Amino acid sequence: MNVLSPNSQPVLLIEDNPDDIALTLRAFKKNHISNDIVVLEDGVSALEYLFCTGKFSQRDPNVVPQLILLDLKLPRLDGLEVLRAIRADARTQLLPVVILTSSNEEQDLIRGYRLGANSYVRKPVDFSQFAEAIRQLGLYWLVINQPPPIRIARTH
Amino acid sequence: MRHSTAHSNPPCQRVATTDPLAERAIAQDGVTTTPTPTAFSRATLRICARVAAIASITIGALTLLGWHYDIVLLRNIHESFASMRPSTAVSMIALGIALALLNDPHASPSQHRWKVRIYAIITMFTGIIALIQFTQMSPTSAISAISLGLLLFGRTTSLRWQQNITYGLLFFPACTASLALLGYVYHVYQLAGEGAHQAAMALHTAIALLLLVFGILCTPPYTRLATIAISQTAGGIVTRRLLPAACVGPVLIGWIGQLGAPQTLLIDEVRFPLIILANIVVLSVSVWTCAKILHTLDLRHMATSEALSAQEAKLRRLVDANTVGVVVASIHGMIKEANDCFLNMIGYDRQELEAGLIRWDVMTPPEWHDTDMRAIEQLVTTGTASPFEKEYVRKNGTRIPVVVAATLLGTEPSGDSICFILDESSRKQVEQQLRRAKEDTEVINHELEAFSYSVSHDLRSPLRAIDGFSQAFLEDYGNQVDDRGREYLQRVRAAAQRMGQLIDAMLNLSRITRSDIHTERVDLSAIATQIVHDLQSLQPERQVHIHIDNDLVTQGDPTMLRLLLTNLLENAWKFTEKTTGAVISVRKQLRDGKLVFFVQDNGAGFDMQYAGKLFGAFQRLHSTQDFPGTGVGLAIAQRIIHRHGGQIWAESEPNHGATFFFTLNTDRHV
Repeated sequence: MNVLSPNSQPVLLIEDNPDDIALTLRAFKKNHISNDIVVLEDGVSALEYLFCTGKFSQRDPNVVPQLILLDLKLPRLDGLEVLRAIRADARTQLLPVVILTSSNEEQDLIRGYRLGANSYVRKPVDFSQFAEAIRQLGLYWLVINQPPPIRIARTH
Repeated sequence: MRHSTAHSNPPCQRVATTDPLAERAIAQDGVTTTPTPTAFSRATLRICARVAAIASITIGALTLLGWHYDIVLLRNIHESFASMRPSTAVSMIALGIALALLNDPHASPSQHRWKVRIYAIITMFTGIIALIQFTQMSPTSAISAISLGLLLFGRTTSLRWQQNITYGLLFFPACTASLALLGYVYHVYQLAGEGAHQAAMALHTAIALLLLVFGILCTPPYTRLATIAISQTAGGIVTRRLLPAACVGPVLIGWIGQLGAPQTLLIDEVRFPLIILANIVVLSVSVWTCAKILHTLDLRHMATSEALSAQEAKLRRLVDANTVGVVVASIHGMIKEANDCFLNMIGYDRQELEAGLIRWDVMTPPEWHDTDMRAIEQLVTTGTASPFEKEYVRKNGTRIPVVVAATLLGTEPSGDSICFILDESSRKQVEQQLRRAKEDTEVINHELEAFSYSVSHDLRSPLRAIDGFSQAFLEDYGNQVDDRGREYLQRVRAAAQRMGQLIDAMLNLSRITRSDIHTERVDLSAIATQIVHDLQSLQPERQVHIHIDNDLVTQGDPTMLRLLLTNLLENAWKFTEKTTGAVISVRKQLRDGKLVFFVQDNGAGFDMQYAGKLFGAFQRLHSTQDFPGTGVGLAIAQRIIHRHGGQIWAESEPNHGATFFFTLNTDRHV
């Protein structure tokens, strides 16, 4: 896992395929995106991280991801369920979530947007195109886009 | 005297048609109320009776005036004739009034009963006095008056034997009056009852009596004979035509014979055979006329029954054809007749039917009883039961689904009905098979969906890894391998990317099959213009002459039709890449009355020998080097067209371009 620097808002990468993780990280690095990247390999861990529970119960709740990159096919709890949980909780419902997945099935698109995804990006096979997509995502969501104000409702 | 209930119901005919029970009661009492068609109405009969009554009263009254003012014409009619006695005149008036009362159109039959009886008593009293005191009244007139008085006194009777007595009572006055009349015609006054000690019946007495008899025969309930005379049946026709001839003919012949007597031109020995001959002629003519009437009626009857039996044969053919079950059944459950088709349906045989063992109520499972009850209610109230679905239990216990329709055979609501029964089991089986096939298709579609989903998610990831890490290797360690090593890795990348394209193409193809069709008006001209514009903006350097008809409008799924045109136009665009003066047109034409759209180019074309492979998935007629592509575009186009119930085909020649034609069935979308 990554070591978080306290003043940086991380990017959350929820992805189970190690190849895709490596390639995504490589693309971030290649495009000089400096934000920390927190990788979570299944839906349950992702929610534990976001709500500071389970193995992340000691995490600093003030650290809130600036962007969530969410794959749909995940072990234990799939991406759409994670998205539903994010949107259902006051602490996380405003977070920008970009679905980043292999599929462009109509049902995934519809359900993703219906559950409140901010964007849906299909990972191209061609790595050059993939790197370019990551560059544009980083530029848009981390630089151009104005994130929502962070007001975390503390439950404890 | 019994007062029949039927008579207290005013117009008999209405009773007969509205209340079958009352009708039967009357019929048993012997009064013919069967509504046979008549030549004259019963009201006409009553008018006749009233006229006869008034005539009788008038005759009586004039006679009394004759006595009072001593006018021979009124009293005797002719000096040599017998006079009508005042007592007779009083009888005639009394009988006339009684008859008129009986035929009062504004009164119920029983209203004047006592008045009628009083007048009848007056008549009988006068007659009896005349007989006992031996006044100058003719005894035949007196007995006739008593008979008629007796008859009218007991008029309310309606039993057949009592009616026969009535006709018996009419017999004497009718015969004596007729005889008297003949006596006056032939100048044989003995016939009028003239004797040494007794007076003859006067001529106008005879006429009045005959009028009264006629009037009584026209008065209910004595109209049994009159009913026959006025009916439209053969009997009625024969009676109306022959009875007057039979009455008048012999009288005339006799009278003519009498005329010849005094001249002694014809001696009696000659005259009687002539009279007999004349009678024979009249009788023969009557018989022939009668025969002719009956002959005509019989011919008509035979034609009718022939037509009827032809109709019946048709019905019989329907029954015997055994394509539908036909039964005659009572609404209470008994099946009286059935054809083989029905017996086969329910698994019983004819012996069991004839033994009365087959009952539809027993064969019907309990859950269908309410349905049966509703059908019977409809049958009884409207005369037919519209087709309804139910089940029967066969003899072997299995059930058979059927459709039943029924109609009453007669007019009686509780009577038998004829039912038509259709075996629904085969239709039900087909329905079940269809349902199963549909379920199977749904399962397969569901599996296809899952498969596609899995392909979409899982198959592309490894490819991305192959491509991505090859690229990473080239970037990070490219300088450690020679050109050939780098080229190999580039090939690995190219192959991975191509496979990615193929997977996407395959998914697109399956998506056409899986997605639903939403039909609406589609402007193909606008869509084609848009697609060409996009293609041109991707390759602005290309010079292609485009022609698109501006009225290409149809019904279909807009998304699919856009994909169809995209594939066809991309092909045209691609295969004219190496053509100078490239022309692409999108147009329509009428072929055999059908609207055909087509996309035409003057590009590379293809050999028609391979046209059969054209629309197969992943089939390509050109090398990827010459013209890149996945080989799925036309397969997708064909699927779109098939889902629209249309056809797609191509005509081409190598290097002379290709034309892709397609039709859309706007009525039927699969």
